[in-house]
Amino acid sequence: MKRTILTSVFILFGFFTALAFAANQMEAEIGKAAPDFTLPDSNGKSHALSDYKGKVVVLEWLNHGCPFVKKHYGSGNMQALQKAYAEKGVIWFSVISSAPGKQGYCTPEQANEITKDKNAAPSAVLLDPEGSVGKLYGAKTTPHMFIISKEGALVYNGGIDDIRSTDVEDVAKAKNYVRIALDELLAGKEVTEKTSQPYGCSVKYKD
Amino acid sequence: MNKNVSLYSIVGLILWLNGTFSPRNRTENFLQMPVQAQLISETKSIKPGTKFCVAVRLVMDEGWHTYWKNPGDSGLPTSIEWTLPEGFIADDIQWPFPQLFETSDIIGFGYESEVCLLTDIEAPSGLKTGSVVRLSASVEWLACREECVPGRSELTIELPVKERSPEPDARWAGYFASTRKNLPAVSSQWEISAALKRNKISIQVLPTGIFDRKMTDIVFFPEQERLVEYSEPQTIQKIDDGYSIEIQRSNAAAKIPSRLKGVLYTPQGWDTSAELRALLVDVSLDNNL
Repeated sequence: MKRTILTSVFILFGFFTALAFAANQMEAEIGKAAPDFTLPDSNGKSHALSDYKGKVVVLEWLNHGCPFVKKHYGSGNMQALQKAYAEKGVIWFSVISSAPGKQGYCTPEQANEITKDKNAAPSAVLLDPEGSVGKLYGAKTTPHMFIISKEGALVYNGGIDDIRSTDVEDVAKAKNYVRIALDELLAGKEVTEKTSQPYGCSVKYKD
Repeated sequence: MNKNVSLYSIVGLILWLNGTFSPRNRTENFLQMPVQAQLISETKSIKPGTKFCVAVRLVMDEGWHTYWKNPGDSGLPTSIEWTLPEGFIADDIQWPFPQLFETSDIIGFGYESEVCLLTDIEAPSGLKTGSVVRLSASVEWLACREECVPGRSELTIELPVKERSPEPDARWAGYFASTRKNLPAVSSQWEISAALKRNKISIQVLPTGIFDRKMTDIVFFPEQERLVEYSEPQTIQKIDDGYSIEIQRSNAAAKIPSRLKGVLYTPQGWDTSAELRALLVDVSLDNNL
């Protein structure tokens, strides 16, 4: 009897460990497979991350009401990165995880309008009003940048650059981590700085 | 013809008014000021060759907060850039312990309502008595409620240089006194140690003597970024006469530092008079991996 209890305890323990392990596997971790997701874009087209195996993918968390985002769009920094790396075959997704009623939330039409207005050039603007993909990746700020390698591994998680401010003038002086990581990846090298402190406004998830 | 001219001038006037009073200009310049900043001095004068204390006082509208030196998952620490006469040296900001703000698992460390950021400044010994000294601070902050608004203020005060010991300025004495009560401090009554255990950082805080008050609420505010997960609950356990606090390491952990820095806060107080609410933590971080 005692033995049976002990055995079931062990089985249960094993089960929970396996569960915890599975949960851990699903989270975004540097060097591991980037968690797959499917989201609609602002034109109603559905994108799965797994559709882009063989391409470098950038995820940029976006809220156009946030002063840190305004810094990088007002200076043209973000658009320039989007355009430069689109030419090199990089897929760039701007992800909006703001919940309805919160700052930065966009209907598909509003997302298209503001993308045009800012002269932005992402491959697509993905809409995540439930915040599930934001939470899956642990996106904390706008902007918060993630880079996924051609092999589908998460290779960068952090800020866009190393000067944490809302000041447009800092853009030119800053070390742009995303540009450096993308150049390294495209040259077939390992990304040297894989994480940095993301800075910005908090992502306006649903309550 | 005449009619046309007046039509043009009306159109011109409308365009001009539009440019001058466009809502964009208005909001940027006047409406969005949820924080008022002020530069105050503890004393009414400066004595050559001595230190004196000044403070940047930020008063926030209801619901708004500004940030601590580690702002947490988002935000930006307040910064002060001093422009001082030759020979004056300003120390770092003395940050009061912060409070924690949480929205959908995103954690911020900062201040609401109001905060005084104290700074000691040393006056050079060769300073001429009878002169007046002008101190300028360029202060930048990020204020957040649901949304965030950056703010900036150029603040100046002038203080006379006098030979006699400076008199406190009664207008601000209360602010300086209450702020100092909130500054983290080292206590000889407690011994702190920290160790890295697998994916957790464990802090032990043990009384050096007899301390029989039971703490129910202890929070560690990490000064270093990307070391621990701010949104994970901290586990507090009673051990021997003291406490252990375990905190989940950050997923995006940077290199493991050799020291752990931060603030251990309890509303119940670490001293017998219950006045010291924040212990300064700056201890070696043992690696038990």
